[in-house]
Amino acid sequence: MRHGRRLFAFTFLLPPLALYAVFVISPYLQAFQISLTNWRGLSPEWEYVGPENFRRLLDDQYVWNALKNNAVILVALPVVTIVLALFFASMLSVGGRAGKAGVTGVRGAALYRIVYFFPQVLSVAIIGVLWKEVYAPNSGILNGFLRAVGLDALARPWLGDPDLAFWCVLAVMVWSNVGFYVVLFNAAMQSIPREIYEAALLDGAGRADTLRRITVPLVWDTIQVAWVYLAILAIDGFALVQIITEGGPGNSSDVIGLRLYTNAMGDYKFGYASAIGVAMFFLTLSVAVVALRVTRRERIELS
Amino acid sequence: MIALCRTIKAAGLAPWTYQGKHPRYMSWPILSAAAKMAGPEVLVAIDNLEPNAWKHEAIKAAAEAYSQLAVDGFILPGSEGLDHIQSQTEWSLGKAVFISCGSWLESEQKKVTPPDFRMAVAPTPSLGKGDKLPFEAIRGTAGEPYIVPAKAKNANGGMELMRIMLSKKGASDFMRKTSSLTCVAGAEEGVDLPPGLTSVTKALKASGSDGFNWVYNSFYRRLERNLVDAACGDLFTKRINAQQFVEACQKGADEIAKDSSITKYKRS
Repeated sequence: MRHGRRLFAFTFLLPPLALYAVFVISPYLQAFQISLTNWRGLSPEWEYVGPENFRRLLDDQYVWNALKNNAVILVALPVVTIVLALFFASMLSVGGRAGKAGVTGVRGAALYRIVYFFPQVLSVAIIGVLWKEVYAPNSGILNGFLRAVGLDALARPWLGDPDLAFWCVLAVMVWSNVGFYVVLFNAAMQSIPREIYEAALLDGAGRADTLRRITVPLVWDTIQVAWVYLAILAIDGFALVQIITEGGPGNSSDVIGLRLYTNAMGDYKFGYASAIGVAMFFLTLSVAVVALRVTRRERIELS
Repeated sequence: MIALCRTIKAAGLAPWTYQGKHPRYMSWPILSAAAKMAGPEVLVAIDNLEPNAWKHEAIKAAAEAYSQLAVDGFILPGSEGLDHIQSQTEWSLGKAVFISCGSWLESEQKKVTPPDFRMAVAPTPSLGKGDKLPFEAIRGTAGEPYIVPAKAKNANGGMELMRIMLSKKGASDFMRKTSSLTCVAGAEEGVDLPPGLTSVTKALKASGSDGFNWVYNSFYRRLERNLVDAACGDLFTKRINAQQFVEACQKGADEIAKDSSITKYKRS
């Protein structure tokens, strides 16, 4: 009987595992192999060039330029997203002070909770195209809004300015991610017993104090998970950058994922592009490990 | 050109716009003007990655002439923040008078162009009386290369497909459906072309044997797509001048020339 059940589960697991092996694991392994060749993608001929591609990688100023941008995203994206999401989530679940009902969300919390989640429902491609139009210098609503309220001096050719384009994309990354983490933190906060807040309230703690001393420590596990997710996201960042700026103007908003893509699909250097991919793989892995280590803390038992 | 731009601007229109985030489109009039001034050898030197090919006097003169459009404020404000579709749409809506583009423009803009909009192509203006090529000379080239791989499983089938595609009948059919020209000479006969394309065929005929071309963008895609592109972006937002522009392009070309992983091609 027991044996039969295992076999039953196994037959159900087999197709997804096979798909995973074919479409996820085998391309990874192939990338390692291709990264040691000079394959041009279109030709059936190639030869092994050893670590040549990786040596090239170290001297490639465009790769370093892209990595520098990834490094900025790696720091800014998690911090800004998590801080914003924590703020919104705490306002939604414990920000209200409705007399007898005790600690609840602010008025309209249910509506906000849905609105914040909107970006998450859109595909990355749609978000990219949407924001490209928002940033458009003459027809975009950003400049349109600035001009409408008399701030003409602040209107910019956003994506056309090498000093701003990168930050414009970063803002979109934050915008598109915040909603998900609001919902995630919200769920975590729901599990915090209300009595703790009420006790804090009696002791005269304000909202900022409650957030800092009660909420954050009690949802720390979730924050840690969010941090790792966002860090992994930061090393990619390809889709939004490719759609919104294509790395420009110049290479000012380039990211490593886009480097890989242009090397493969633009210059047809599949060998070199695979080397970038392999480097990215190890980079992501180490960032995830570091993020987990740095944010490790003693667990707080609630019961 | 500058005098005309002044009149256009006085009339309340932007004389020029360009494909903002793909500023390389503006390298085309620069190279065309340079080729007309000093002859097509300038372009051969660029294609062959010859040392200091980009620093040729003619290219600098042409870059200076075109950067004047930015210096004098003759470019639609905000153009640098638009992509090719957005800028071409501004142009189709009549907000700017000139744009540098290829003959596919009419087809690409079909959906947003008002029906009474009669677009037309003109050769790049001559830089001076001493130009080696006449005003009519244009860069007329086939833009879609086709390849039948030598080791293809059915190479004969591939060639046969090309023969059908490039027959007069196939070509005129393609032309009718896409309103874009093919490399088959005379295929446009008897086809009712839209105004823009009519002007293209006229310009091609007038240019005749004076036509010229460059191919470095096919030889070394990155050189145009990234390096010259970035230099154009800087030039037309006044971040650099013509001298710095040719230096930036030359630096890009040298970078390609030095890179041993890139196969080099020569033409004459």
